[in-house]
Amino acid sequence: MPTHYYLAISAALFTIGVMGVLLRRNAIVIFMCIELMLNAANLAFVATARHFALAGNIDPARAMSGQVFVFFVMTVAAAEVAVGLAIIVALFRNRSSIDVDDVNLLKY
Amino acid sequence: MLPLWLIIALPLLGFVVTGLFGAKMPKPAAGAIASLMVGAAFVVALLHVLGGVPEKAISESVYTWIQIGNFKVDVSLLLDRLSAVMILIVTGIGFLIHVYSIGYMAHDHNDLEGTRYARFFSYLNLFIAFMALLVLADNYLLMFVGWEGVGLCSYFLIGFWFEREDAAEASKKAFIVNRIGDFGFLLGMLLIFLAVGSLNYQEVFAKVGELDSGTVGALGGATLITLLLALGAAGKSAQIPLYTWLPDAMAGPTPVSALIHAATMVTAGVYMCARSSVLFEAAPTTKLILCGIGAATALFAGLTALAHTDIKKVLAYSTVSQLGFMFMAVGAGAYIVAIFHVFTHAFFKACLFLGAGSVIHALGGEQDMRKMGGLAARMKTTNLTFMLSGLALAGAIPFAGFFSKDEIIGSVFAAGQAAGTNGIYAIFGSIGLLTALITAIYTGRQYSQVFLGESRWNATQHHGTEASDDKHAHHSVEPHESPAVMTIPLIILAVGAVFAGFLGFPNLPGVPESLHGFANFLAPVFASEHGEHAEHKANVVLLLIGAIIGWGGWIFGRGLGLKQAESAFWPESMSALSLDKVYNNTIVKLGYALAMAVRWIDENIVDGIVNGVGILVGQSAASLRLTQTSFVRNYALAMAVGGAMILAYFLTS
Amino acid sequence: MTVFIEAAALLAQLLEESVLTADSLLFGFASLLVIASALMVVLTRHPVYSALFLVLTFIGLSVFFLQLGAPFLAAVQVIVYAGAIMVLFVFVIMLLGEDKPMASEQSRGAHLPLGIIFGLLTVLMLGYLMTNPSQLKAPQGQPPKVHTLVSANATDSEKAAAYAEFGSVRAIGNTLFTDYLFAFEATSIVLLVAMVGVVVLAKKRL
Repeated sequence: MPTHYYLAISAALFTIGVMGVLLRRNAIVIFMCIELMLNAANLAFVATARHFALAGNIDPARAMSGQVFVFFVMTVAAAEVAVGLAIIVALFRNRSSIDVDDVNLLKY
Repeated sequence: MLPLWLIIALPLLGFVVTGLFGAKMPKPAAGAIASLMVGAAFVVALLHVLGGVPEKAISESVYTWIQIGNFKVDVSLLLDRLSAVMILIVTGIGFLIHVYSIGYMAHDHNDLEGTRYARFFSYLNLFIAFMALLVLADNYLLMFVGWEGVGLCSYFLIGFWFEREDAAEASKKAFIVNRIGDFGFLLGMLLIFLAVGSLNYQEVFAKVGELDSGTVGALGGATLITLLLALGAAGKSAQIPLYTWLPDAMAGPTPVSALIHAATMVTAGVYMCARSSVLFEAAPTTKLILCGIGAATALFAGLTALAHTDIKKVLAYSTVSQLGFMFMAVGAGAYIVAIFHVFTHAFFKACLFLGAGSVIHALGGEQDMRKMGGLAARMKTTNLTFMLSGLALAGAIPFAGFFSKDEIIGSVFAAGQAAGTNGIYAIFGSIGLLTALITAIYTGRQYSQVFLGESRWNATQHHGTEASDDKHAHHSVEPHESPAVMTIPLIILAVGAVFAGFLGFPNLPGVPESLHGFANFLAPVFASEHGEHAEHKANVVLLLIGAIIGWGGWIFGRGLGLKQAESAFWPESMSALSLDKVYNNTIVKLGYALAMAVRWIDENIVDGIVNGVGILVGQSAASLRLTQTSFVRNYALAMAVGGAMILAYFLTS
Repeated sequence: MTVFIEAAALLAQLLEESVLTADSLLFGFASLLVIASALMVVLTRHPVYSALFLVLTFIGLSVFFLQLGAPFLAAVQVIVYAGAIMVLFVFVIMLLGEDKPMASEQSRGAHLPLGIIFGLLTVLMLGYLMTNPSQLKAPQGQPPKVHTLVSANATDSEKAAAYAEFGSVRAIGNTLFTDYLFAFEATSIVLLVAMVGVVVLAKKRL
């Protein structure tokens, strides 16, 4: 399939993720939408890696960088999810709610 | 040979010692140290003069003060015959006045802690040091340092009793009016430097021709420069229109009036003009103007002296009048005669002031002549010295004032003949004669009002100086002669007033050379420029007229004083005829309006901008902080919008 | 999952000569799955349903990775994302007891309309940027000094042979442990820090 089809899917996924972050109030759901955004980026990476491999006049090792980068993104995403959920747990303990609109003490 | 800078350093040392430690020593010690320092300076100067001041000068360079590019000014001292005469006057009469002050200031009722006595002497010594610097300098800039310094000391000393409103105001007035003159002096120096490239006397006088060429010449040349210098001299020597400070300066202690405002500081202007004789000779127009100003000042001040009843004010206006005479002499080109009048005037005017101080001291602070009288028997020494000095001031032959004053009038008439502007100089000369008559009248009148006639002083007066308060009001002390420390200087000065004139006998045929000592002494200094003016033939008719005026005016005035003992000559309203009101209505009001305008600008515009910035910051902060809504989703939205804008940028670029 | 793939392959064999290749069919199916699941993640009100739909999205993405010649990544995606991260999500949802649907997901003020507008704009812009073939340029400049599986001036067949292993574990390992060694080690530190951080943050009492 032409590369730009995959990139279009990636764009759509990213936008859906952004919408979710802006429109949902549940903190965990917001977090899930962030994961969605990360995965959209991963898809873009892999698609372009294949694109440049197919273009032919490039080192295959160099073309592999795209996929290796996805590897790193996944690792960091895992770490980030762990820490983020720990924060949400701590927040829940303090405010008894995971509604982000209830976290409103830093007003002017 | 002792170095010249000792003459300046010794009084300066006295200033430091009495200033720093004077409060801790017993009173007479401070006075003694100060007087000793001035006396030592006098001795050094005398040794130099006796050792022979050559016709050329002795010049010593102490160190290089300024050297910027081709602008070089050294601290170097010049002792030629002119500065020798001046320095002997300054240190000699200064010494006598220091000794007098030891007694005079000893009973200052304002001096509760006893610290003011020493402060007075430290200021006096500082003054002598600066005046010596002025006289001994060998370039204009160094003279200006001394010039400003004596102005500063005048401020200190006039405002010595600073808690008195009139003294504080008078000291400020003196300094400010002087500054106006200094402005002219500075501009003159600037132009000299521009034209000649140096401020050293020898170099400037050698290149006097260059003053009329080039840019400076186009601006006005030597005439402009000398007019500016004359402006400075008018400020320092109290000529029209800058004389208004001198009568008010009588608010200071009497020794101050004697030293600064009779003998030394006010003569600095005359000295400066005499020193710059080369420049003035190159500008005949300025000489004419100067002569006119001198004549006008002399007449005006003489008339005003008749309207006052304060003993010191009369003497103050008399000083202004005599200074006018000196400037007339400068305007006529007779520099030696002007310096001779400085010389004699120093003696008799200082003696008059000190005598007035003695009277004030004896009467417990009384200065109004209407409340004096009948003191001749009680204060014999003061009476005699005052009378002799008064006769000298009046120009009665054979006392000192006759010779110097009539020389001046004679040279004014002679200058008219020589310069071809006979008419104008003759008018000035006539004004001089009239003023001499008026001088004799008011001096005789003053003498008899104070010392003769019936006693009008209040028997309950007490000891003290002008600043005494009413603490001892119940002490009734009869006025008596002042202590020796005050009368001995009076005697010495009176001797000078009587005999000093014989050093400058007029140039009549048959007069032995020895009686021309003064003129001969100074002739080499002024020799190169004008040969004939210094030694004009004396006009016998004028001398006779002068002699008659001197004695006649004195006797007439003496009679007036006995008849009009309770009032002044003119009514009180005449004393108000002064430039002060004019200045107040024009310059002072203008200056005040300007100051208020600037103040408005400062408060509203400048402060407005500064405060405005603060207010701006505050208000913008107040509106900007509303963006911190504390809702996380608002922030997320802002981030998303920002991201979209960046995407748009990439799209369009 | 494998049932679907097999069915798709069968369909492809049946329709060999037509435009509808196995590739494109797979692509269409997977993309539908991904987009639909993603929309459901955002739109559903039950948090647990959200999580499960996200899992479905990940699986669809894994299919994409397979299609794009990244078998290793496809496996890792399922194992790590679907298998570990989403489990963690569900775990935390149940821990906090917030598995009930939210009463109301009222948007604040102008969020909803603004969000929709910006969403449309973003997808349009992103779409244009990413699908414009002219935007996809070859990397410029000197390539970094890397270990190469094949040299630059090899023959086409050698290249094809080299690319035969594109996306394999061996290829990833090769690149990872030679060019990106430092990043790899740094990532291990990141994980360590994350673990410690989580323990500290989630303690009831420090």
